[in-house]
Amino acid sequence: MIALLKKELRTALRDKTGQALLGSMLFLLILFGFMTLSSGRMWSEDPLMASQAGRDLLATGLYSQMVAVILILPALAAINLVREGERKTLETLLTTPQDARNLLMAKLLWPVVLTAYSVILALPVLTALAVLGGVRFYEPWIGAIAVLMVATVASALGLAIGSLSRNTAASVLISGLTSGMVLAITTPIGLESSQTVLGAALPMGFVSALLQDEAVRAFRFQVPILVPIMFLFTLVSACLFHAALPSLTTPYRRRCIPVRLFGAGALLLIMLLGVASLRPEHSASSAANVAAIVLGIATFGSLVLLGLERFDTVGFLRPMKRSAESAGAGVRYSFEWFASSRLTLALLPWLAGVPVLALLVGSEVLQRDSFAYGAAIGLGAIYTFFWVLFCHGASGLVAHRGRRWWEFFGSLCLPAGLLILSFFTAAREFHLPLVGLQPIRVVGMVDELTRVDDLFLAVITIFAAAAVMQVLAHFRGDVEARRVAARADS
Amino acid sequence: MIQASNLQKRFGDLKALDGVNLDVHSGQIFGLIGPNGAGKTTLIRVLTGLLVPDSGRASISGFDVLKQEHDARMRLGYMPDFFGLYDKLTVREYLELFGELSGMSGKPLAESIEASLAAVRLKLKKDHFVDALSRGMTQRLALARTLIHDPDVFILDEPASGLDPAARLEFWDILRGLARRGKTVFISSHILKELEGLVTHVGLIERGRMLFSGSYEELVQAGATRRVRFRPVGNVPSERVVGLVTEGGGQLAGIPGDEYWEVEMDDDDEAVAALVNRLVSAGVGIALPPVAQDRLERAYLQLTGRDVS
Repeated sequence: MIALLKKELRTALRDKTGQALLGSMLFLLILFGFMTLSSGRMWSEDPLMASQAGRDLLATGLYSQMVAVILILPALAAINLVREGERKTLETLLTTPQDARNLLMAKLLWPVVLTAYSVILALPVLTALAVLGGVRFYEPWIGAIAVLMVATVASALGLAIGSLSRNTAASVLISGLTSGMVLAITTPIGLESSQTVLGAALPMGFVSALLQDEAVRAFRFQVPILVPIMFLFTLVSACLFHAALPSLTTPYRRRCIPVRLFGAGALLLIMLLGVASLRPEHSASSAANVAAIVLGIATFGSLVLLGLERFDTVGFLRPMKRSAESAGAGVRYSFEWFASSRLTLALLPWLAGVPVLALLVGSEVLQRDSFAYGAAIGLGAIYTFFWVLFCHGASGLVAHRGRRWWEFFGSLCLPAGLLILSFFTAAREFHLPLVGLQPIRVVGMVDELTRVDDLFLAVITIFAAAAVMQVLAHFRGDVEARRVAARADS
Repeated sequence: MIQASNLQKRFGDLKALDGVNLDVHSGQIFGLIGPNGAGKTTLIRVLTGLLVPDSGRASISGFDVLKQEHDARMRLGYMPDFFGLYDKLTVREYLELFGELSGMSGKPLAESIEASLAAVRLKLKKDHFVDALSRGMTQRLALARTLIHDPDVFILDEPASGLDPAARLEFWDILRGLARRGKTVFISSHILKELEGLVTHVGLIERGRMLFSGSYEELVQAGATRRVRFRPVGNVPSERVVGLVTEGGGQLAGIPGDEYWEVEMDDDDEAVAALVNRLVSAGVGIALPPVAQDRLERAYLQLTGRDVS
């Protein structure tokens, strides 16, 4: 098992996907850290306020790690497994004397180890800063355990999705949506409860909803809650993985459809459990909440179906391509591009969800301020656009290793969009005339870095970031150097 | 040693394996030949334990591939048709991985890696990343992976596809070396000529049924007719030439009027000589084609009754 784990970590760290995880964890750590630091409360002479600020920092520091874990880890774990099937490397592994259980453990643990690496890098900074702010020294460590448990849940979910998915593009799309983060980051006014319900209906949204609760400030309460969730997800993924092994190593996938449907059913059950676990004020009491549940289940379901044999992401478009080919060369190229484009694939489920989204928003608009909802709908459209570009870019990065500039650009769109939204949020915080926007859950935006201490802390944070980037660059440079040497040889 | 008895495997209505029996011994190079979709890869997947047959059993070096999975895999080196390599590992790391998965470590593993790389002539590339290797090199690396734990049995699924002739001959040399060391080599291909001169034993598979399994010589004997090609030269009418061929024990296979005629007759040099004499005596000149058809392909066509390309 150690040999397999070593292999997974080596390949992940030398690949853009693993680097994306560590890089985004770091990026979010810095972003969230600055937002809290900049509130200035930590340096307040009022001890209560300083203590609260320290807790804020701890919570946001760890939460930033969780965001990256929830957002990216399922996709990484899923892609890793699907690619092994596509490249037929799994066949060679399964003909060695190794037990398939070792393979399962390695597949489950490598994302957790990668997360641990990032968390350990962040811990000294968090501990130092948190202690300054009045947090007990053991609290960051308990939080770190919570992060690793969430990483295990995310990894197990990714493994389950990888077992269900037909190809890499399908796994990216499914795992992207299951994160639920697309819904959790910003909320148009008045749709908070609907959004909570929808978020809870998605597997990782369920976990993230738990962790975004007020109790995030005291992670020790989260650890016991996470234990059964972790085992449930691990069990589901282990069952699916073992059931899917024959289909991953042979082309005869049709026979596995019942198993895959079982897996999809298990994930659906998790989604329903998520909704059932909500507090009464978020329950499905209004038409909007019902619509939210329908939207969540329909969209997630359509993505799962994309991963199945019958709705092969390319196969079910082939008849369209064939008819396009017979129509003539000029039409052929444009239509073929459209039919086989990952952008189309990313758009399809969202287009299917538009009527429900309209119902969702419409039912609320009738009761509330229409101007605010106009802004909310516009925001939702922009957000969806960013998300689609992100899906497109991310799957392109996987397919072409980022050699195409528009895919690289696409993959940057979601972070860029979030940044823009955070400025909108900040504008609202400062009572600028922009309505219809709620702040991001982490309160506060840069006041002014006036104190030397603040600058000092900023330097420490950047230094930590640079250390991680150095490690990444080492691996990357290693790869490049060898590649250059190989070229020279040949 | 590879043994299989009465292997059956169905995929829906399709019979992928239909009562396949197999007995391949140490030192043999066994070529499994059949067209695309004949059941070659299914048989290999069953032999490697990747696929569970509906009935029948298979064993590697006497160990059942399903019931004594670990022992069987310790003695098996498998190379799939798609080599299955990790691009982001170096050649040495890649071999280390598979050595460790087979329970090796430390000095024995390091020595084994060196020996395997030497055997496939990749020692100079050991610190290169896999994605920097040429196709021929990746193929040799895949073979080195199968060598790493010194197995008794090698199963190679269409290993020569996409290789240039020189690389293929080099690869065949390595396989012959393995057979000389008493290893069992099982190799599949849908290109008959590819295995000519390499295999000691042959199995012909078609629609999941093993049509023939035996030595190369036995196979050639089993399809014991000879197809002779010539072009009649002179003024003798075609009808007369056809009559002479038939009287001489031959049967016209090609269409008269083609550049070369094809006559099928007993695989016997004297019979052929008699026919030539008969034609020459009647004033028919004989022009011979420049290239002879290979015997293995002819035997295959004779047994399966179909054409392949």
